[in-house]
Parts: sequence; structure tokens; C-alpha cells
Amino acid sequence: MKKILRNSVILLSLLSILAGLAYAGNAPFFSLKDTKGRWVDSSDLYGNYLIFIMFWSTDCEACKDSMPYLQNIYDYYYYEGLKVICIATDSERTSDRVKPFISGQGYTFTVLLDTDQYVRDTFNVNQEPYYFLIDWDGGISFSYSGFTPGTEAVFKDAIDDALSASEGDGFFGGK
Amino acid sequence: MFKKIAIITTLLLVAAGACFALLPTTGTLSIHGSNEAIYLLTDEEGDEYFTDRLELDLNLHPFTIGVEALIYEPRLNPFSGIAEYQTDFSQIFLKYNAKPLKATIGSFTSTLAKGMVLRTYEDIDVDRNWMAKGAYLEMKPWKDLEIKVLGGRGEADDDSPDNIYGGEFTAYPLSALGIYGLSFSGAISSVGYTSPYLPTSDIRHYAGGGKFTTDFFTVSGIYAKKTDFFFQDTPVQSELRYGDGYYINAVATPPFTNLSVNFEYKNYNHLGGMDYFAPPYVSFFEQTISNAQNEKGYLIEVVSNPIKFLRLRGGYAHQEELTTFSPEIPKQVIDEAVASIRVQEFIPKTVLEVFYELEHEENVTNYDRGRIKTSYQLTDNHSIITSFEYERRRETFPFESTFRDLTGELSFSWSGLFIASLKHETTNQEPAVDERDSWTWGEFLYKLTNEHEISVGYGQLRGGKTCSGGVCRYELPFEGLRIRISSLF
Repeated sequence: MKKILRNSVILLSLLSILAGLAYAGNAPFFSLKDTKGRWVDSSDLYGNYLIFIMFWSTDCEACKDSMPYLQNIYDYYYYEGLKVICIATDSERTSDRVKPFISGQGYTFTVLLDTDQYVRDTFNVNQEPYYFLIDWDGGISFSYSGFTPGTEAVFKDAIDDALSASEGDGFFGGK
Repeated sequence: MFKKIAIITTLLLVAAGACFALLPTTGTLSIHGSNEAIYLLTDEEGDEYFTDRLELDLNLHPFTIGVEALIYEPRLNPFSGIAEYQTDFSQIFLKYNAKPLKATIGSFTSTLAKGMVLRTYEDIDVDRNWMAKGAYLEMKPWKDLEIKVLGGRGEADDDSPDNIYGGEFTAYPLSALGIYGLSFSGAISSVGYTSPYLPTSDIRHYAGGGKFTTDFFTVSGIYAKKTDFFFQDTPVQSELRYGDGYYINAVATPPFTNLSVNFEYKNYNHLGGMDYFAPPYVSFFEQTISNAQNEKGYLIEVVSNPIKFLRLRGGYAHQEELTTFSPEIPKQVIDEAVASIRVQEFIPKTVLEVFYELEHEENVTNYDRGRIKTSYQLTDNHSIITSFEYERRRETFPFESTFRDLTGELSFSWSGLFIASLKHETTNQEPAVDERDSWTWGEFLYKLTNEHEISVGYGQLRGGKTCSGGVCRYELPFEGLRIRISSLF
């Protein structure tokens, strides 16, 4: 029974790769607080913005390395209707360090607190950093794990593809 | 019974997933999941180990059915060094998520009062499954009130599941005036420990707190109290024990500056001592002197981005025992300090980071670690990263000794395609379990697609939490060939 289960799992992994399955379809809904205690609901975002999401934590060095590049991307595409949302998966034990880190480093993108890792599990994130691009239809058009300098070029390509595929007028606020 | 349900659910989801793979997702119905398979081939004895973690969710908004399976065929346990054979369904759940209600039946994680009242969680990397199975409910019946309620069985001990109940509310008294920066909260939990080997306990935690936050300043505090009715063999030996503690946090972010100052303070007096309890450490290294039984401490951290290319961070933490058994016995004291400087593109296409941390435990140990990391971007998609790190530990108790570890790493990245890395560590410690004083590890990670990657590594891994190749994860100590396949679908 165990071998059958293991082999089934391996087979599923290979089939999903061979079939070229992308992490597509509608993005999961979520409702989280930001660092100022205000609720942010995905239903207010999906369909109104192009959304770039990163799952991170304060003890993830690669995640923090990517943030200056995310800030550049946010500044560059702000008037194209892009929102950058960094979802911190720190537990409540360390979530108090999120706001001072973000504020002190001068980042202006939205940061949400996922202290129970509920949203991270909903997106099936299995490592950090993990990135998703939610298009104008609320669907996931891009996902990516890990960051090294140069990865921001991959993000920009994905955002440019989503912008050129959209019907948005590019004005702030999206469609 | 639970395993049979989980197996059947998994097979149904796999079958559904195979069907949906050939169909475009429609409406709000979709199946998602992730899979990570790790295959280990040891160097000398030719042993093979296989581990797989599969998560599958069937989403039909607002419902989600999910299962998480762990398969060890066998698994190389990093703590015992023993091979474990196991097929474990660590999670199965049904979730409902639509404003104003969020509910879970099955496996769930939850934190009440910042972990000072209750925390259920899973950390597979360190073999810790303290999740609960039962029911969890979170709702906002009014815009100025949030409520959490939970109940179930805890999984810290498979032989004798613990009964867990709890709840928390958060109220915003000035919400009618449009002010949500002021909130008050209260929480309560009850954990009934049963064990065929140890006396049982009925532990209850109560907590109350408040938070005031503005754009430039935040202050919050929680006071918690514990009662522990500890059952022994006879009523005479049973006893009621008490504990309490408080935690305070203040953050200042002055306007028109990229500067923040974070202050944390803890005082825990017999507040801890159970599995489902995880209050703030107030430590940079996740250290606790007494597991919240007898300690106090504070932490100050400053983070700044004074000019465009310069990012700074510095901090100091101090913790000590509240009391000792006798005045002649000195208190245990731990001091910590951290500092980092990041210079980004002052030299074009170059990032330089210098990091230093120090830990000093009076009369016991002195530990410091420094790291220099540089990255250079060859082209828009290509970069080279180098890092050099040293660790030094001086022990004065029970024996005097000094250990020094050096680590160097070089990696080349072609974003969106592959990462090649080489890492070498040495130590002058007495050889440990694996009888080594140096480790060399080479790895090649290839992205088949953005969601699927395969990595092949060979050499010796020392293990622990590492950030390498642009990803952070816990690595178990290992020697030999490792193949990892990671998928999101």
C-alpha cells in the first residue's frame, strides 16, 4: 500500500510536469490585516488591480533581498494599476518585527500579516519567497519561487505580458 | 479510521486533479496543490531515503477540501539519525471562507493572544506537529468586533491526544468615530493533558490586552495568567499552580524619515511549560532562558534607510532569570547584539551586505557570527553571488573551549532557468555525529517551468536553516546525492 501511494505521488508529480500544468485558475480569496491594523480584502482588489504578491517572513534573507527590487517594480508600474502586496507569514511571536522592518527600510508597498499561515496554505506555498501575479480577471497568470538578482527581469516580463494582454486603459486604478 | 478517510480523500482528489488537468478551470472550481519529493542516496553505504510531502486542495469557493500527506520510504531523521518508515496524513480539513466568516473543520493552526494563551502549529522541518483537529471559527459579526473560537484534540502526543478549547475577541471601541487604531482584546484557553505515563494536568490561560496604533506610533501590551491543576496519584499530591506574565511592544516610525525603532519587553513567571504555548521570545536568536517559566527581558531594534542605496539595521537584547533557587546562585543572563549594512548599487550592478551578530551568556558562552555577501549582476538575467561567513563560539562552562567555523559559497544564477552553487564549510570542533570537520556541497537547480523545478546536489550538508540559491529552507544533515522535485499546480 505504501509503495502504491508513493508511486502514485511520484507519477502525479511527473504527470503534472509533463502536462505543463501551470498554477493557474482563480486566485484564492483572502482577508488579512495590514501593518496598521486595517483589513484588506482580496474581493476589493481582484478585478480592480494587477496584483503582485510575495510570501515572505522576517527570517528569510532571500525574501528581504528581493524587496528593493519589488519597490522599484511598484514605483515603475504604479500608474499602470499594479499593486504589490507582501504577505508576511511570521507567527504572532515575531509579527511585531514586520512593521518596523518595512517602515524603517522605506518600503511603500502593502504588507499584510498572515500570522496563522492560513493564506499561505491556501495558495499552497511550500517555500519562501514565492511570488504570484493576479491578473485583471482575478486569475493567477504567473508564479515563481526563489530570488536572485536578475529575477526582477522575469517579474517585469510577466507584468508586461499581463498589461499587454489586458483591456485596461493603464490609468491608476486599473480597469 | 482517520487514516482511511484521508487515504480515500487523497485518492479522490488525485483522480479529480487528473481530470481537471485536461479541462480549463471554470468559474470558482479549481484544484491546486504542491508537492515536494526528496530522494537521498548516501555516499558510503548506498542507502536510499525518500520523502514526499503532497498538499492537495479542491476549491469550490467559498469551500476548500484539503489534505496533506507525508510519505517516508524511509525518511532520514535528522535528530535521531534513524530511518523512519511512515505514511502520515498530517492534515485533512474542510474550510469555509467568505466574509464575515472563516471556519475550518479538521486540522487547523491558531494563535491566541500572541501565543501567550495558545498556539497550535506544524513545523515539519523540526518534527513538530502541534496542530489541533476539531473546529475553528473566526468571524466579524460587526465591524467593530472580531471573534475566534476553537475546540478539538491536540496532536503533540499521538498516544494521548490533548483536549483543547479556546477563544479570543478583539473590539474597536471607537469604530463609530471611524477610529480603528484603538483596540482591546481578551483570550482564554483550556488544555487538558492526559498521559498513560505522567500525571495529568488541566491548564487554563487567561489574557487581556490593548493596542493603539497610528501611522507613526504603535504600542500594545498583553497580560496573561495561568492556572494549572496538576493531578497526581492521590488528591493530597494534586496541586493548583499559578503563573502570570506580560508582554509589551512599542514601535516608532517618525514621519518624513525612513527610520523605525522597535522595543519589546517580556516578564514571564511560571507562565509556560506546555506544548501549545509560544509567547514572544524577545530575542534575535529565538532564545528563551526558561521557556517562559522564570524570565524577563527586553529588545531594541533600529532599522533605517537614510539614503537611497544604504540600508541599516542594529539591535540589542537582554534577558535574565527572575529568581534563582538561592541568592548564592548567579542568575542566568543572555545578551545579544545584531548589526547589518546593505549597500545597493552604489557601485553599479553590485550589492554588498555585511552582517554581524553576537550572543553572550554570562559565565557560559560567547558566540559571534559575521558574514559578507556580494552580488554582481552580469546582465539583466544573470548574476553571481558570493558569501563568506565565520562563526566563533567560546565556551567557559563546563569546560573552556573555542570553536571556529568558516563557510564560503559561490553561486551563478540565470533567472528563470537555473542556479548553480558551491558551498564549503569547515570547523575546528571535535567531530560530531557524522565525524567530519569540513563539508562541501554542490547543487544545480533547473526550472522546468516557473512552477516546477528539479535540483540535483552532491557532497556533504551540515544541516540547519539556510538561505541558498535564492530560497530559504531547513536542510537536514546529509552526505551523498540528493534529488529534489518541487511542484506547484
